[in-house]
Amino acid sequence: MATDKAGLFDYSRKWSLRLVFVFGAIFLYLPIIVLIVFSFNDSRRGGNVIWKGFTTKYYEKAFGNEELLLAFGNSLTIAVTSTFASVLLGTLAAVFLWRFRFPFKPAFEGFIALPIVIPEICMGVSLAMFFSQMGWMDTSNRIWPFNLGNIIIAHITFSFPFAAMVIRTRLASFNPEMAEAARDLGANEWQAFRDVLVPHMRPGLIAAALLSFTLSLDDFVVTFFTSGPSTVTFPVKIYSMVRFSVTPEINAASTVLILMTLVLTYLALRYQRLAS
Amino acid sequence: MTSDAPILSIRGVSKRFGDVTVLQDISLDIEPGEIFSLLGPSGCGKSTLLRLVAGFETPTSGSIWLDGKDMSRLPPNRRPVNMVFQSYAVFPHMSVEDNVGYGLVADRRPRAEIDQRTAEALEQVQLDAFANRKPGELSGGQRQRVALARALVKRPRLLLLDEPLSALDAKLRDAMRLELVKLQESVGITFVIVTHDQSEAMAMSDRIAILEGGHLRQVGSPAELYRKPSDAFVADFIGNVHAFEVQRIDVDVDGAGAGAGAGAGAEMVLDIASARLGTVRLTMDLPKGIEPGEQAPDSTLLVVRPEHVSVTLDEPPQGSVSLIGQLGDIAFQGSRSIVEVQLADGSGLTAIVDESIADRLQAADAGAPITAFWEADAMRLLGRQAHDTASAGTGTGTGTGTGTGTGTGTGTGTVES
Repeated sequence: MATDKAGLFDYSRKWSLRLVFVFGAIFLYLPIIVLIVFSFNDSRRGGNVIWKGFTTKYYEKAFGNEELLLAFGNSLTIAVTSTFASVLLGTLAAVFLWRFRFPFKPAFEGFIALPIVIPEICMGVSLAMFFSQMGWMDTSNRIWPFNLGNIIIAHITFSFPFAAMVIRTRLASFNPEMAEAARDLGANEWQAFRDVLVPHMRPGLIAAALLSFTLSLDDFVVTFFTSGPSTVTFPVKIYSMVRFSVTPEINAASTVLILMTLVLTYLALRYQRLAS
Repeated sequence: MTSDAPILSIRGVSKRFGDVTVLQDISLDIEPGEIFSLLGPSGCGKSTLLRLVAGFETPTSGSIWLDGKDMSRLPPNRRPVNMVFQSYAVFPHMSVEDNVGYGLVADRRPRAEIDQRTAEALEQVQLDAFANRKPGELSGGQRQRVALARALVKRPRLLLLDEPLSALDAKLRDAMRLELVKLQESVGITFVIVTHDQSEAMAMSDRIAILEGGHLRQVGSPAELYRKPSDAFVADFIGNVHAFEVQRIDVDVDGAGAGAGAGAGAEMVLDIASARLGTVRLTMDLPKGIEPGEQAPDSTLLVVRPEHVSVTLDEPPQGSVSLIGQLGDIAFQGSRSIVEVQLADGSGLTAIVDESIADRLQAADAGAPITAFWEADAMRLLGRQAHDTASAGTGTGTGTGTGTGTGTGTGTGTVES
């Protein structure tokens, strides 16, 4: 084959397509790169695009900001808890939908997917109304982490449908003969579930957990409506800081968050590759 | 079925899924140590029957007995029966060794015993070198061996095999066929095989049960099924047949007990009237359910196997049954050739002939007049269906008065419709 002429599907060797790729990449990643770069800018204003020298003092400042750290700790606690709950509920729902036939099953599947398409603002308002009706809105007299209960419940309601759908999709590729083989070889229902179905679901479980975790960690709208005055999460805290003034401290905190997400995703993917 | 201790006894089993009856009143006994095949076209209920024995389904009515104990309601994990699945269902996340040992772990056997029996089973299927591999690294044939070892390691009373050769390529299939028979001989476990491939069933089985439309058509050794098929469906499924409709049966010799003739062994001469064959004189027993006299056009068939049909460009021998047609395609198959004879009504008849005849035919022009003939003794008189599910079967080209002779293809189609 000739080497100087790009074939029909040799996308990477057509300069026009390369250009599109480069622009796409810039469009996606430039803001993030700017954010990271200016977290090291020795300027008092984070929005200031004039480079004034390298410094790490805003990292020190961010790590010294107790309110920010508290908000970050809250966010992590909420994310971890709601991830576990979402994956558990999502697994149950997915297995239930996959395994059994029952009346109005399509309607039920639709209902489960509904929170995915409902605008977040509606969910936020409805949950806020629900919590205040129940008299749960005031969380100031509850000790940590129970004061986060409202937010955790709210996060589970919007992330568990995602988990259920991801796991359900994975289950569709399961060969039912596998479970039958386990039963045939002497396993009871539970053993067959644990030894054959769960290993098959594992990539789906990991994907569902990653999704739930990120959804929870960066959620603003629903959290804003359901958090009491004494409970602040990382995105809500950043929002209030930005309203006051944009400092490189926010850039620094965001960079740490990006780094954490990257590491987590990398570990999950690596684990998944090892498992398969 | 005369032995007094069958290993598996299926007694009057029916299975319905909603309104659909998949199996209708199946009764059969399987003897210890035999290879028993459940043979039938797809949708005949053979796989459901196997799943009933394995315990994945429960019979709607009737019962399944193993070693004299009713196990119809036992869950699959409590039946001393193991299965090799059509997809093999080898657990992809476990090593070969763990796959094979899985059943013993589930049974909570001691570790030492598990290791020893697993190693033995792997040796039995020549996979001892692959113990630590993952199934993804194995070929289809090797994966099947894992499935076999995994089932055999439990020393089941019955080994169920669901279409064991269908996923293998042709060459491997022939080798595996022999290997399965050898394996069965060495382990002595009773095999029950589900297959839709009659040649596979014929080659491997001690006995075969033919199922069609949820009914048990016939149970017997391969030779019995071939030589004495109980109806036209079985005859056509086990090797092919050419079928001719019978319009009238006259009993020449005094046929006092005509209806019971099949069992009694009374000889009678039949006059078989058919538009093209004319009257054929045969000496044979009247099969059960076929009475002398006028026959409904689709109830009784006279069949002959292609391997009993010969062709000649000259006069057929005296006393043989013959049909005149035109020479069609000749398919060379080594020592034998398959010759097609085009009959006047457009249907075809195939004959299997040896080299000397084929050579002479090659010299003749296509479309040359030719006579197909066979010995009258080679024909069998059969009911279209042994069961009362019939009457729906007036399809494809056999119903008309002129088209009484039907080729193999149409014969099958008619029965299935």
